[in-house]
Amino acid sequence: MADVSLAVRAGEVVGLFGLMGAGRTELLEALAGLHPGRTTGTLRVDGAVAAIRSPREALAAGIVLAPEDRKADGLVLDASVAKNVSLASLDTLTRFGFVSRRREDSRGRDAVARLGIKTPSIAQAVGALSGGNQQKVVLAKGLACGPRVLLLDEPTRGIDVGAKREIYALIDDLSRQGLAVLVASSELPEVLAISDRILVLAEGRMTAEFTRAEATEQAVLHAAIPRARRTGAVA
Amino acid sequence: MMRVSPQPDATRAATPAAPESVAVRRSILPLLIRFRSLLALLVLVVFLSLATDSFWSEQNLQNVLRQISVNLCLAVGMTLVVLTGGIDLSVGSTLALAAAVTAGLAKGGFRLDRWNTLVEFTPAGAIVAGVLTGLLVGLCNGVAVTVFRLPPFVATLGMLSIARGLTMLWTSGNPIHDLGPVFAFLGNGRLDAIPLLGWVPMPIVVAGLFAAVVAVVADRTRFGRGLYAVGGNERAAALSGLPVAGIKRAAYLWCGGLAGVAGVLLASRLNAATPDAGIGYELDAIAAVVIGGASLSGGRGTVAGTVLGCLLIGVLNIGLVLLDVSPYWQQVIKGLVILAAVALDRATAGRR
Repeated sequence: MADVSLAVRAGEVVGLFGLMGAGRTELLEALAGLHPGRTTGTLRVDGAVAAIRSPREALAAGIVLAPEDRKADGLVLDASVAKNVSLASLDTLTRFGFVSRRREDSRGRDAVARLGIKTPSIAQAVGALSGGNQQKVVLAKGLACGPRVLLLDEPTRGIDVGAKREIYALIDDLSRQGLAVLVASSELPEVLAISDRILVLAEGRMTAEFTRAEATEQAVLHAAIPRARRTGAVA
Repeated sequence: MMRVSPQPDATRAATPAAPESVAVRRSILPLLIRFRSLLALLVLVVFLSLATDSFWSEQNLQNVLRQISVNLCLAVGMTLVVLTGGIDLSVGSTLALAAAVTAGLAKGGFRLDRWNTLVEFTPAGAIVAGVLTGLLVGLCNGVAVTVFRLPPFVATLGMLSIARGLTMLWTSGNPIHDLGPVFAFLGNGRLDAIPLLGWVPMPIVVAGLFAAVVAVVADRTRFGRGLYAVGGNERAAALSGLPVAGIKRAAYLWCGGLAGVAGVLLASRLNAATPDAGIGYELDAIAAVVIGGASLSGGRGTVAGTVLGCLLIGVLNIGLVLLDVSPYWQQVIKGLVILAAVALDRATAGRR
């Protein structure tokens, strides 16, 4: 990746579109502190420069990543809904090293209610939930940290239509509450539907930026196709 | 152009409610499975009380508890490491080294040749030094695993040899005998001063206290949560901002420290430290953890389960002796019990 510059304002949903290998995931991971030492550049949150070299520092700066592969990177499948929800914000439930189960459970119940997580109880292991509900648990875990910036990588991958719609509504709701949301997706209709602004990546570079009004399926797709192949198509 | 990805989880809805015919199975079977170690223990106890005359004798119960205490310390520490998805093969050697350090210091102190002085140790000081030795070994294991990124199996296998060698060096290969009254009490004393519990042997009190502390640590603290998260899904734990390396180091530190305590207990019980003490003890500790329901791939298990596993192995050991089973068969039977426990765990893993 090189020369990528972007800004996401509070209350804004920015779509990050690109084909496979365009660097969407890498960009989000870099912002979340997963590639220290391999990234250069400056990152500002609320105007203040944030030096982020680890997920821990990213969380402290208010940046939360909901990773693409929720089973591999997002959830402890054997653990309960409540424990997964509190995983990233344990510090706020801890006093003298002890985790308050009462507050943890109430955090879990709040999340279940707020995000409409369908689960028999907060003690249910997340591995037994459907893909959509697992995704909601990942989001709840991130939201429990009180983030300023939300990075969503393919938030509706492998999720049924109903749950997709709920996730879209949630994204909309969160941006209204003043969060800055950056959504990476390889589904063009999804990007067009939910984004206030669309950034396009191709081969690790940013190739275009569209406002919601400007964006058409053709224009976005054109910007996403790697240059080599584009000229090849013309010749 | 769009990625075609299989969508297995979309079709897998949350477990549907079972119809009434399955309801009975759902309510009883999981309970049986959940408490299988406890059941196995009860069955074994009932069988032994019927098949032998001496099982319930005070003498025998004290023996069981005394013998269990060392493995209990080791197994409880091992549980924390296993929860992270690691393993500690060095606990037997660590135990021997800690026992030797404690015994050596209590008996002869520490000679500083350069200044031509002898530093003498009180029994308490010697015990603290032994436990510190265990902690130090645990710290080395933790650093090997997290900083040098060695697989736990390899790192602690190396330490198994190193700690044994250091024990030989420290003792010159000779046992250290006659440690004094404090150790005699710690190893073979009882809670005589306390009514009703007067028969309880000291070593199980010590081991039991540590087990209780570790159980609370694993279940209630942020560190305990970290253990389960790291073992359950290390990447998710790291992405959630958990200090994965620190959590692992702490687990090995606890394990080493508890092996140190076990060493002190063993030396006290035998009133001696021998350089070949604790050989193979790591296997009993791991067996207790596994029988207790922990998964060696991490993230699953409880200290209470490990305590049960310890009791089961301890009762089995002594039961086989009472039944006059040949020592060779004892090993075979113990191995079969471990295999059965793990096989049952595998077979029922889907139910949780």
